[in-house]
Amino acid sequence: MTRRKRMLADLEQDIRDHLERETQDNIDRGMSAEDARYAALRKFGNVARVKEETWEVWNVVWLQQLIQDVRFGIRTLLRSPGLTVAAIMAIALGIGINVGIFSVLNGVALRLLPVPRAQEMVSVNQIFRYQGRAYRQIHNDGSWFSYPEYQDYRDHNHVFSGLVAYEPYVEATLREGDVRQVLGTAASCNYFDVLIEHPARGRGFVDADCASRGANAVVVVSDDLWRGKFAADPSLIGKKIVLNQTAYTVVGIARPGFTGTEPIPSAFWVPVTMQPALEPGTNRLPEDDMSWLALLGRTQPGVTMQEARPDLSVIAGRIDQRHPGRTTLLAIRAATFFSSPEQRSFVIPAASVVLAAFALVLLIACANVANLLLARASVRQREIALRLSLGAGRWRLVRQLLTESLLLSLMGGALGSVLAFWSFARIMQLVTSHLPHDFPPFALNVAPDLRVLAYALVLSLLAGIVFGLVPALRSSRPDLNGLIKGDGTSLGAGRKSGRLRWGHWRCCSVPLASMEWCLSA
Amino acid sequence: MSTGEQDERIELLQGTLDLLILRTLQRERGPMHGHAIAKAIEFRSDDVLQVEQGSLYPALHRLIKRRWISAEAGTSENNRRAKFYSLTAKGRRQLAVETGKWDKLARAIAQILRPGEREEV
Repeated sequence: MTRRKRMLADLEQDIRDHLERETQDNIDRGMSAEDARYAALRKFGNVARVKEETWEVWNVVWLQQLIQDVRFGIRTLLRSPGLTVAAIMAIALGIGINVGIFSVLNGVALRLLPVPRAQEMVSVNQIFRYQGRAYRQIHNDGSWFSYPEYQDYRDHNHVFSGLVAYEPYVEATLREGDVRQVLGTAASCNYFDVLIEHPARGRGFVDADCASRGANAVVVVSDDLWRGKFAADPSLIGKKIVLNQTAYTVVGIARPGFTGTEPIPSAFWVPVTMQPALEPGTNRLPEDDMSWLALLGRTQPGVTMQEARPDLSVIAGRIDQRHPGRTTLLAIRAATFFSSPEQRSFVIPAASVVLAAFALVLLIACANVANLLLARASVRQREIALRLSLGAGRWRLVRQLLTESLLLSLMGGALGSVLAFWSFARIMQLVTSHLPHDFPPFALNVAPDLRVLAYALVLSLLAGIVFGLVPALRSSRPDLNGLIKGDGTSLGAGRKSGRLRWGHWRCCSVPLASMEWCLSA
Repeated sequence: MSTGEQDERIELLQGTLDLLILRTLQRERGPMHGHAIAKAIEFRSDDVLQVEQGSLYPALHRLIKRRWISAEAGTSENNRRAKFYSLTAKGRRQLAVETGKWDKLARAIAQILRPGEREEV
């Protein structure tokens, strides 16, 4: 037996002994047996409370009370199933849409890149400060790098096991029977090695592919292009395909599901040194002051981002000496889609606006559920008044009512999240169908991860508190005066709470309508 | 509701009562049962401290849980089964600490309440 059990088991006996001794003392002092007993009890105090307090010494009281509250809450909710179902549905709608939207945003801006050991990948970007005249050519993103800059960082850093540069979204015309426009990537030749994305068939690039500018015309095609355009023909490797009037030898076919490190899938990859041939009329390779290459580094084991910064800043300072009046700050962060400062300055406000708009839907759902709970609280006022008059603390009552609303919101949240995860493809479709028609498809992973689950949980808890607190506070302070006078009619005691009523369902239709409004706006 | 007041009073009692129990067990140099502890506290304080005897038990259990006292079953003088409490080594150390704190507190309060007395002495 544990100490706790032994001590509590003997408590009753100890108290009885104590009272007997005290009674005996009193008798010895000349009291009658009955008086002696009463005097002993008076001196001892409230036996039940003493037992309770002793019991509390050994037990975690709040946990016991929580279990009680949850049990009682479930019973209460089951007693009025119509209201419960309506409230859960409203919350499920509100939270479901929010979780769905969040999982999309998570896929867009928070998720790590879809490559092996993605936590080692960092995105490096530059922010320039100029004194006087600024002249830098920008192709795609102003915080990206030129080819000579990339070579400097690649050859002189001590923190990366590999540093990749690539130009995404290169448009190319693929002549293979019919003519098709595809988007591809011009990548440094360590691309597949550093990303640990070795092609499923054939090979990736080797250093020799980048050795001479514009000479080695090789290409790795995506699994999608291989299946969609070349009917998954395994003999494609070694054949030549024509992109923008240059013939490239296919050397590899990428792993199914690997579509590059940008949200829009890449259909092919060519060595970065092929850029002048791929984009005839431009030659960006020798340009020293031009932003056109995104940089991704894989840190050496044990190197943190904080350690990477000073090492890379030394290189940045050396490059600045070639450009008087220019100071370069480096933005180094975990690599995700949209990790350059320029992209983030657009994505984050946009995401906040979208999330805030859909949070309003949830807020409306909460307001409706709060109304339902208030209506029900008026039915339950007799129960609450009884408990208050029996000495229940107000905080204890509020806690119990809050437990009920948290039960509702957690169930609603769970249901809503399941619905959201299940229908994420549909939500994605909805989002993409509002984009322009010539917009290419997104390669977003909107499957739930820990972050999405945490978001759903926090949202559910918040919702429960938001719609539960006001009814709980109001109904735990009933008009005892009116109750004592027996004014039963004002308490709504005659109303049945278990039946489905139109009002219950209206509380789902309002958030539904506001949701439609949000989506169409 | 008066729960707030009650909580405060119990809290004030708790620390003091714990200290009194520890001191009583130390002075009597032997295991005591609950009733005897209550009696001893009343007797020692010339009946000024009228402890609600029941509140002794939560306090005893609290001290046991902290391992400042130990409990063993035994038989009392009139051959009745009873639980006997005695001070542990840890409890003895704690008593010294708590007594020191109490003295400091009492001195500080006295100094504030009657600042003149010190000079007179």
